[in-house]
Amino acid sequence: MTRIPLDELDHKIINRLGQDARVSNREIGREFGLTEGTIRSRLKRLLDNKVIRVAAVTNANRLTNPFLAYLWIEADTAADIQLLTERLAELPEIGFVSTMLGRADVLAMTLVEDGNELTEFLHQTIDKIPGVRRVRYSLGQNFIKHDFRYCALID
Amino acid sequence: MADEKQTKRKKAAPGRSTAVPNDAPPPALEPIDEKIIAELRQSGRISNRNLARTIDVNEATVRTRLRKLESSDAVRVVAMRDLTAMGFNAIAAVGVQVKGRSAAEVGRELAQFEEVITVNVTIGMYDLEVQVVAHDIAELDRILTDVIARVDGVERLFPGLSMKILKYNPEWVPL
Repeated sequence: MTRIPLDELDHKIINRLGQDARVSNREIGREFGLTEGTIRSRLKRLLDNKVIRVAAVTNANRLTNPFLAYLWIEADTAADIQLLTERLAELPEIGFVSTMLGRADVLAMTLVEDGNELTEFLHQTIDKIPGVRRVRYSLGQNFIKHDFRYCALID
Repeated sequence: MADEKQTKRKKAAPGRSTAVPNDAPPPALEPIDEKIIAELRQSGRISNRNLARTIDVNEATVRTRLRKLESSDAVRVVAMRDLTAMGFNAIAAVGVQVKGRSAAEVGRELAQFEEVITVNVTIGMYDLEVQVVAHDIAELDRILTDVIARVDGVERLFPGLSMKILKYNPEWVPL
């Protein structure tokens, strides 16, 4: 993916949408003293180049009391890591997958309702992925901050 | 803490009809709400008029429903910024060991830093798990060593660096 340079106006638009992503192009234009067309074309450029994505997020999968589980995964061999991460990324329950430098081979995150659901998920799903040697986990009890303005836009 | 709360709630539940609002399960969504959310997952910038046309209802319905969904924190339409496109090339997952202060207190203080994008009180290896973003390794080092390490109650840090992020899609978030 080619990285496009962002100027002050791009950042202003991104910040404005960070507050309210349903605001119309015309309204943003009015606030910035620019035409609706300018905003529209800038925004199209930001979206097309995957700088931002505007989408609905829902309240923690509508779980009543979700915990975020951090899964620290060790692979059987270093050569298994790539396929293993690809399989993890395909799972709809998993919201974050990354290979790691330190702490574990792979970090994956998922939301669960309770410890039982986590155990079930680990045994029924994660352990069955080829190349998984061992999974350690830490269970988030209490979200203090979760800045959903960030993500990684991958095709 | 959450565990404790849960146990208490379960004990208190029988025979009680007045539920604490925060603990009440979210109201079930009607099919029309599900349709609106599904469209907005595809594109959060679709106009109410086009959304209404796509799911074959009138525009006023979309506007009212969406306002209700947003005000009840069931859904929010947000602009998510790609970390790399925004110039953040170093993303670390950091376990924090806390001493002499409550983990939640330290967590709240860490949450105030812009570069700290997630903070969770955890059961497991460490007291807190946080994610820290920086433009490069030098900046990451500065944030960990000069900023986070100096927060009162932070004893030890256990950072791991994300090398390749294959998925980071915050479609489900605590609102």
